[in-house]
Amino acid sequence: MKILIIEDQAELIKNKLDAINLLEFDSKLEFIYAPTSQEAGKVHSFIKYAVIIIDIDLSVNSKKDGIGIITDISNYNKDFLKKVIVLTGSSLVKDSLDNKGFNDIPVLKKPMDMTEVSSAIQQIINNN
Amino acid sequence: MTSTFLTELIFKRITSLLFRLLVIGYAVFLLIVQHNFFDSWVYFILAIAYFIIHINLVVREYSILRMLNDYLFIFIILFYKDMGMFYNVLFLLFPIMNSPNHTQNNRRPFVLINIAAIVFILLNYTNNIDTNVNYQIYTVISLYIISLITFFEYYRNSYRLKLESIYTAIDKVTIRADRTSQLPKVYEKIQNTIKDKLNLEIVQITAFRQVRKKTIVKSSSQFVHTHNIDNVIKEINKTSVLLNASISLNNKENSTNICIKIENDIFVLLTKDKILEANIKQYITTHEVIIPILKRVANIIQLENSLDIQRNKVNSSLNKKYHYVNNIMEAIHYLSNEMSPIKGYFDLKKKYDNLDNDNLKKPLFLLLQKEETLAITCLDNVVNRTLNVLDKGLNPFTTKELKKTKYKQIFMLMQKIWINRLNETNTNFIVKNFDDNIDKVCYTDMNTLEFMFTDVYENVRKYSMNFKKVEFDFKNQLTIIVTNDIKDFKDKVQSLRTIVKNFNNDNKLEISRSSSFGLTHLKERASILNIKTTIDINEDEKYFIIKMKFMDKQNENTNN
Repeated sequence: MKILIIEDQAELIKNKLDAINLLEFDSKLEFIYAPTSQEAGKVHSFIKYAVIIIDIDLSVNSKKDGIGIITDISNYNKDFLKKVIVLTGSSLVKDSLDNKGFNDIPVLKKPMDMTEVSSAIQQIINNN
Repeated sequence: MTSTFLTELIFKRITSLLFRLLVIGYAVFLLIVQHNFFDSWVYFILAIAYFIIHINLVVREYSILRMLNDYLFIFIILFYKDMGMFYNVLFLLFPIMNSPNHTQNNRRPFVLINIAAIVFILLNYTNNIDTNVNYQIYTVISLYIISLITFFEYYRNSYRLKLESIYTAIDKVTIRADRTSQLPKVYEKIQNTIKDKLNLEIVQITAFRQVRKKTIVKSSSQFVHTHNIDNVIKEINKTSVLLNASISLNNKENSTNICIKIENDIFVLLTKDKILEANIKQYITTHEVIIPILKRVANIIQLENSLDIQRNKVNSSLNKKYHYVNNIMEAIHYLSNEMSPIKGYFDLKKKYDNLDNDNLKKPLFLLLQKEETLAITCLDNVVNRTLNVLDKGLNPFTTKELKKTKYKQIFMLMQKIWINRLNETNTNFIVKNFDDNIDKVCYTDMNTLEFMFTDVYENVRKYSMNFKKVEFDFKNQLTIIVTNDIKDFKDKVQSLRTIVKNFNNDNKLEISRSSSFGLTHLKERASILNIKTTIDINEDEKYFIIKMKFMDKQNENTNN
């Protein structure tokens, strides 16, 4: 089961995600890391991922930030939004997403809580 | 109609009335001391008629008819009297002597002199006393010499009024609160007013200044991207005023201009037509109107320069603060990221410790080790890269240096915050022992003090109802006591007691824990400035009292 992680500082969360995979998902998850929106690939390719974890504040090399990527996903296929999780250090992101009509996307705070992330991934997998 | 204009008009009316009464009084004198042609009752009716006609003409503002009325009255009084007598001729000169009291628009010096001359000649003929032509010519010439002086005075006054109207136009522009330079608008007003009042068309005004041997444009009514006024710079020091110099602005040659040097600025006024050097009117316009106006413009340039320097200083200070706040934001963001592996390490360790499955323990231990290495690196990063923002030397908000400051400056700062800036006028300011300690100084920082006093004011403003009092005692060490009443005192008295206790115990932590009535920063800033700050409550009066005593041991009297 492939999970796309769009995050420019992947090394800071990699061990924890691996631990979640080991402990909660029997190492069945395969994490694909993309530090920029370009490296995440075209939106239509997102169909192959079970879960998409997006950091909102990406590096300056990224053509789009997390909100831009979510907007692209929404424009392409609104159903894809059901497998999106937002990971952010900013407390204002939730309001920003709500204002743009993305109220149902789970927003998780950084530094990431393993239990919280694990539950969110589990819930998306169960629902889809 | 402005109040100044109205006052002037009232004074002119009163002067005018007094003058007519004087004319009538002098006429009575002339009638008493000489033989008269008419019966007394004729003169009596004449005087009444003269006065009534004058009042009517004043109401209708017929100035020329008023003048004719005066001379008709004078003519009848002097009819058949000896014009060789000084006191009779003096009567004839009364209206001329009164002419400075005429309003500028009603001044007609030549008309006045002509009427006086005609009346004089008529009186001479009708009185048949002395018909010597030479005598009359001399007298009329004398009258015209007087009129020449009046003429110059008239023109000088008319220029003064035009100048005043231009000053008023400039003032109207400069008093507007605007962040941009007012000079282009000032130039536009000058151009329009000079065109209207003096019929001189100025198409552009540009001010230059030499800075380190380079000529720069200080301000201009129109944008100037290139210029060459080298010819002007060579010559202007010799004469101050140059006409029709050969210059180039925006790559366009020009030789119809007036160049004037005023202090450090060289003003170049491009005129529509060539200025003729021999033209006396243009000479007067340049020297009596344009130069005084440009002197005022030079002052505005100087003022705007000073404001620019101040603005740059403020911007530079704001910029430092902006960068500092940005650094803090970045540091906090960085800190949040670096916390992730540290938190992750403890999360993993907890999971590892609680894990029963031995098969999973080994791979998890490897992950735990990796996270541990990452966490240690992140901790180093936090210490080396983030915690330097706590260095007070980098903080532009901290007090860097204490400067010698007069007690009265501190008083003025407090008063400025209280009265001017925050529009507070209900506060009772009391100053004690001021006269004997007028030059006393202490070492403090006015910026930090301003923050501190603003906090005190805000505290008073938020929590008081009506009563506010600020006492300054200049004796010994400067002491400021701020007293105010408190809204809902009964409800708050318990928390106030706690605050007083904590505040006076020098325990910052306790202050910040409780509802501090805005006093959290006061204590810290006071401590930096070595001001002993205590608070108290007067439960009988329901007053809250803040006492600030400047503990600086270097207090002294300055000789400055």
